[in-house]
Amino acid sequence: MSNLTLSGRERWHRMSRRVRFPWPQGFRPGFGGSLALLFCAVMILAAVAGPALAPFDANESDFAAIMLPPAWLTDGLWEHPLGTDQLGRDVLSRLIVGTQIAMIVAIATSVVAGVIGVTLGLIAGYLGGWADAVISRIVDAFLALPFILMALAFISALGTGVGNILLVLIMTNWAPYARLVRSEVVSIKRRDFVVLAQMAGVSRTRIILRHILPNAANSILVLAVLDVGRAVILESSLSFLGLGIQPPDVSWGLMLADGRAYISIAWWLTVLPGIAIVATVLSFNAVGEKLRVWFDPRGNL
Amino acid sequence: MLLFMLKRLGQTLLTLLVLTFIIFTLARMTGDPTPLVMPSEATDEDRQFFREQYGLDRNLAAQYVIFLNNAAHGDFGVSFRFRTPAFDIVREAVGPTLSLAGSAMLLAILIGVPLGCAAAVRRGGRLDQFTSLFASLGQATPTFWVGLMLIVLLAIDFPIFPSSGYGTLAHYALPTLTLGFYASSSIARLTRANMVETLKSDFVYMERVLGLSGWSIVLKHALRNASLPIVTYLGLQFGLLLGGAVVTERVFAWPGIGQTIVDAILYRDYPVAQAAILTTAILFLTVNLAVDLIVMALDPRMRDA
Amino acid sequence: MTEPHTPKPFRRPFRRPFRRRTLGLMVAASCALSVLPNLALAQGRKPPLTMAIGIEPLTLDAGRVSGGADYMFFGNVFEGIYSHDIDGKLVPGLAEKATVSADGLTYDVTLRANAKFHNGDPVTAEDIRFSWERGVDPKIRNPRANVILNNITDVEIVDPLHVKIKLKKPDASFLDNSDQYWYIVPKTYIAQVGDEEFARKPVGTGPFKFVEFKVRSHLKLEGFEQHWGRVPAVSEVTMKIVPEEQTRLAQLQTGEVDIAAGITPVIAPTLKRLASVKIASVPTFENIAIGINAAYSSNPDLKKPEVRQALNLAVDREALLKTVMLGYATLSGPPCAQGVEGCTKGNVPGPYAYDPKKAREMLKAANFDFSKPLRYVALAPGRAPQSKEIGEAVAGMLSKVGIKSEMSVLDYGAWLAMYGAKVKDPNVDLFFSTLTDYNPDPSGRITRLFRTGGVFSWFNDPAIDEKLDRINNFVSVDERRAFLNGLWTDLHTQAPQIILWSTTTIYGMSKKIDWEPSHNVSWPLLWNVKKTV
Repeated sequence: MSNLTLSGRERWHRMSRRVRFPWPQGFRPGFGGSLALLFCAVMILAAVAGPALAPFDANESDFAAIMLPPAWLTDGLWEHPLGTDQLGRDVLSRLIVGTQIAMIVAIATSVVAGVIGVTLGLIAGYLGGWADAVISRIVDAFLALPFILMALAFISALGTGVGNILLVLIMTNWAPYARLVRSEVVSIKRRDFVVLAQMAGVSRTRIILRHILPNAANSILVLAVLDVGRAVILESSLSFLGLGIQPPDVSWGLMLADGRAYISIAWWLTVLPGIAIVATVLSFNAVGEKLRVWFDPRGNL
Repeated sequence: MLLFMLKRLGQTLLTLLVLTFIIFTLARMTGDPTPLVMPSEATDEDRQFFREQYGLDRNLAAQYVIFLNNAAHGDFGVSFRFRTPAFDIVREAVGPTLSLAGSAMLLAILIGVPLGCAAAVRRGGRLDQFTSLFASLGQATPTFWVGLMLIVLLAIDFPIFPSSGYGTLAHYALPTLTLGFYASSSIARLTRANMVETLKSDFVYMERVLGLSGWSIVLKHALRNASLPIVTYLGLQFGLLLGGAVVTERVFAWPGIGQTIVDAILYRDYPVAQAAILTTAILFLTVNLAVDLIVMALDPRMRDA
Repeated sequence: MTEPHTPKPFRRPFRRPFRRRTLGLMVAASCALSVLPNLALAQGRKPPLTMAIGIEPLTLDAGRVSGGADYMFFGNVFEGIYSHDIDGKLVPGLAEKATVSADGLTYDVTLRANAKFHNGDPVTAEDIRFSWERGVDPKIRNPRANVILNNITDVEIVDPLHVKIKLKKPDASFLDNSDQYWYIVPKTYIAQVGDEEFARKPVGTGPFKFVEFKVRSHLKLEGFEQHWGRVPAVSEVTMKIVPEEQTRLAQLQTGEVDIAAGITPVIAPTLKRLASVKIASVPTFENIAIGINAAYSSNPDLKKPEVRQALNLAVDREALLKTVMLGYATLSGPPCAQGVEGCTKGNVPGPYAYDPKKAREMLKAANFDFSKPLRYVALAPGRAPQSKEIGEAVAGMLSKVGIKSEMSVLDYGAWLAMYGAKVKDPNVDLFFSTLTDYNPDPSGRITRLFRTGGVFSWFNDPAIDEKLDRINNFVSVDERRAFLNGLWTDLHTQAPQIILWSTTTIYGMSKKIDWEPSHNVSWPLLWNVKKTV
């Protein structure tokens, strides 16, 4: 009985006392964090299962059912719970299939851009001197261009399509990793255990891989998780400008861009994909934040 | 100090050089402007003449040297599309962009700083929770979507402001809100973090012991101490706003530098694209350099960092 | 004199109760003030006109016209010896009349005695000759000299109002094309100020005088009271350059502009519901199709006419017209718009009827390889109405007959480079295609589209080539029309494209405006706009 009068948070606390989720030691995601983790998992699941979950083919147009509103409104049909678009395609199916592109693009971007950035950052930070000067100036140059501009130029140079979008996002996203890792390495390499290893004659590669990289790993992971959210936004912005994902692939940004012309007569075409983007980015950012707190309770990151 | 400044300036110039190379290469990679400039009735000789006229028939290295040399003298060439000096077109677009970024910045400070302070003082309270939600939402929402939703809400459903365009003060409302939302969320978060740190520090504790009232500590002492990183951040934010303006300008048909760049790229108008991107980057680097120097001047400890 | 940009208070566009009240007020006010317009007319004062356009002219030099956007300016400020009326019919322009010799090589042209340039100089035979010389002058680099001017051997001055134009070979398109491809420019003025200054401060003979042009901002014109016939009913025109359609609409609703050009079909229904504005739509000669790479594709099936016909049968044009274009287009049977020479309903085949079953059978009979997807290159939104949606919808229809397609979308620049490439890409099978006739003569367009080696031609058929090569080789208009009838029928049968439709130009305008836009052109000719004060 009394359960009903409690707030969601309190109820969560009571429940979590009874059922303990086996989080790694010290990791306390809390109510919001758990929700975010759950949502991220659902998104990744939707990305993997993709079209199998969608009730309709995302590109199948039905000229007899154009711009049906969501089911709960008058004229809506439960057959199309979130309505249809200007070509009579099922919005729910398109949202689900859009998850796939969003997740693939975002996760692949943060992994590949991470690897490139980390490698260059390690080289610059550890070797110093000329290598550092050259890499740092290139990083600065890449960071000095608003990344959306650079992405625009790359896309008009390379053409659209999922492969090229990935390439562009990688090109525009590696620089922050390089900068972060470089500064981490510069401080780590002065620490005793590295100096000792150097004196003991351990090879450079070994020092970098065995001693330095593990110490920078936490910050890299946090940046990578936060980067997933950033990449989702970047991809949707590019698609919105007409320079991103192109049909028959489906992207949330593309849905928004297409729906824009109908904004005064069919709001769901712009509102629903937006909610999908916000929820996804919010969840990944929240998980990134929780990881940051877990790795670094004092908040130095 | 002087040595440091010189070194910093040198680095900035080097960065700029790398940038010109990236920009030049990117512009050429977008493709040949000839089909866009010449009518389909034109003969091959006419097309060839156009290429010669603008030096597009030379090899890329020669073109780059010419571009660099001319740019160093402030000459960015003539727009393929409008046949007027490229820099004139850019100059006209800088004003609207800067005024939009400026007004968004102002809004962001007016919302972000008080919100962050209040959240830091009442840590864990309702307002703090609201602030963290606000900050997360601001970071997670694409600017173009905020813009679209504002248009639906404040221009179509409740027609208070014009939906897009440029000209009167009312036209500033929606784009400023859009950009300001994004910027204020990160400023609120940063202010809160810095205030929390400062409020924990010894001197604030001392002042409390000395019996100063809570709000006077917050406003007079803690905020001043927390302001240094905030100022640094504002510089960075201004640059980000310049970039974020690209999408916002598109949504609201704002005749700024972002629109100019997008148009120039779509029309393969290399001179305008190069001039506009370089101008943006120079603005960004200058703001960063200025912020660095101000911070150095204010805080000697950071000189050897 | 007055600033064009006096900021106006923003008016709330949609609120119903307000509008009703303002409407009442307006009715009352207009009753009280109904004497005023007459007064203004009596004093010879005409109202000024403002309009919002999406694209802007790129040159003001009549010798360097390069495309559709330039006609926003040239269509209103310059004229040729012949012109077209509101319905698109050929009528004399600066010429009073023209007669052609029996061999088709000499045009005898009598000029109007009352035709004047904007600086007051009369239009004489000297100017006609000079306009030809300047149009083919290698210094001027007229990119369109090839259309009609290079075919002229001499312009002989008989007397100040009389010239004989001699051609190298007969050209039945000569008079039609003289409207858009041979603007008459003032000899004495250009001799005085030079070519550069002429391009900055152009002087023509059209219904409007040039006042001012600011790149990316506005174009200002003034009515030319001494025009030989088409004297405008407005005092001046300010064309504001507003690339974003939504903004043009907003400006129309707030009364900032009287006319908004470049309205897309999607927006038109929304506009129709607004009480303060109305729309006008006219057919154009802009032809929309899905091009087929019949000649160069790595997929040899596309060389077979049956396959191309089957592709045509697989597309439900009626449904596309209704849903994607919201009715704003005219379906075509052959690749031509109604009203183009030889292309009139009844004389040429109608549009391919939607018949997916027959399409499937024909494809099977032709041994079409269903396992190979067709590679479709679409055009990104913004340049042609619904270009991307058309691609998506057609791909969906093709999949219903079992044809898979792979779509890629290019922005206008990349698409144009692909479309008009010297060597056509064998990895492209289908592509969005658009090309406009500027007047009822189709010869230039279809030669570029279907003649082997034409700049936009992805087609190769010796029989069609042979016909295209003598398309202008006629003296008698009727003979040529019959010949074109045959050509259109051939093209319909050969199906070098999935032929779709010709578009409709839509204008939004305030209720104060009374205007029937000229047919067949996609740019506004403003001399017949009337505005009540």
